Amino acid sequence: MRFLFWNVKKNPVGPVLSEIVGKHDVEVVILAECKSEGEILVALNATTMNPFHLTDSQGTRVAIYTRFPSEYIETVHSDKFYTLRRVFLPETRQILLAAMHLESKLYRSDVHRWGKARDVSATIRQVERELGIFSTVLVGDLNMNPFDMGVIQADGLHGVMTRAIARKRDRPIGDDVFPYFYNPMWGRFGDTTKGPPGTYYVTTSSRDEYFWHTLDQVLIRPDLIDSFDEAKLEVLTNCGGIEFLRESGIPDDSRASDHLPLLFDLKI
Amino acid sequence: MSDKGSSEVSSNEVIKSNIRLRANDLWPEFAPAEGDLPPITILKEQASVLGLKLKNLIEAEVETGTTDYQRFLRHTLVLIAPVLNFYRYKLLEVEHSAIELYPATIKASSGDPANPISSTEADNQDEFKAALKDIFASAETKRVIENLLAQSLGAKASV
Repeated sequence: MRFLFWNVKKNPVGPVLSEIVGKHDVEVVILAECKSEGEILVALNATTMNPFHLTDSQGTRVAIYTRFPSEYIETVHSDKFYTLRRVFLPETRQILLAAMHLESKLYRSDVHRWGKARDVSATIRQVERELGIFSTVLVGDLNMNPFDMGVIQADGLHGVMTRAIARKRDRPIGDDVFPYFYNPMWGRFGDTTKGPPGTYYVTTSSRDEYFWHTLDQVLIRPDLIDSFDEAKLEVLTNCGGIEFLRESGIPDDSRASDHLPLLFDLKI
Repeated sequence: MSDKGSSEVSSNEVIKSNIRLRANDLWPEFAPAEGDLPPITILKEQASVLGLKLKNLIEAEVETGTTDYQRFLRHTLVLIAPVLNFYRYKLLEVEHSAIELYPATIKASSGDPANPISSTEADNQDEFKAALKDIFASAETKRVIENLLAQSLGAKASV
């Protein structure tokens, strides 16, 4: 099953999305900052006989479109910033999909945002225990880099940089045990890694500026690592003749978005 | 280890018990009734067709329940506008005996204040499909769907 996540910056990206989902055979589209869910639905379904369904957003700020009917995706928890869905297609392994658009550094302090990551993590762990499903994939615009405290902390998302560490499943700290996520986005920084240097570019007058950030991430629980095809993880920079980067090499928010789309695949 | 062993024993006992039960089977063999398509099958097919036709801007769903102390099955064809916060509109209802497929009574909103509900009886699948086609093509159904479509295209998501 192929997934696409994209923060589209409220831009009318319908035709571009239609190209991407057609070319890459995407089955689940997850969007942040989607201004018109109807226009996007029309564009996604413009030329296909296997149309997407818009799923119930339940007040969250991500929109999820699926090729399969809504009866196979159930909301188990939602708030404004994230949603947890149980995906249970016939004859496939059921998974928990955590889709999110967490708050920006522009409006919230680090402490506030790390606290939210801990809340998200605690809810995911609780839902996993309640449903007995530990095949969880977390995706979204986290507004944090893979090395930021909210993503790496044990009681945060606990995203680690290698499969080998994640395969140990969890880590005890004091009386608590915290399960790992494998975070493959650690491998998507700078010029020497596959694809663009990050998913988002910003320049400020601050002394500590990374310029490129990998805010858009997919994290995989140990139970799903063998279903996750690393080679099919892509940060897209173009599709169908449309470039998502300017000539200078930074995201072109006039043509596409200030974030780059993230494509990944799970064999379930 | 002991847990696995006891679960295997219990599973074997269930299988043996089921084999004993089948040996005492007084029932004949069964297969789904042939002939006319059941109303629910036709309704579900039309629900899928509507989604395809309208690119899932408007979808449809069939809800099934019982009525009159379970004498009748009632299928309700509901329109859903996902973009409009999953607004639901009951388009029509079909009732038939729970143990017969036809006759089926189809009730829909007529749009006429003097006679708000139209009711049609279908004795077989052909009459049932003809009745559905009339309701789908009615001015009232077109008005409802076209208004939902217009609003779905104009709706802005809250971000």
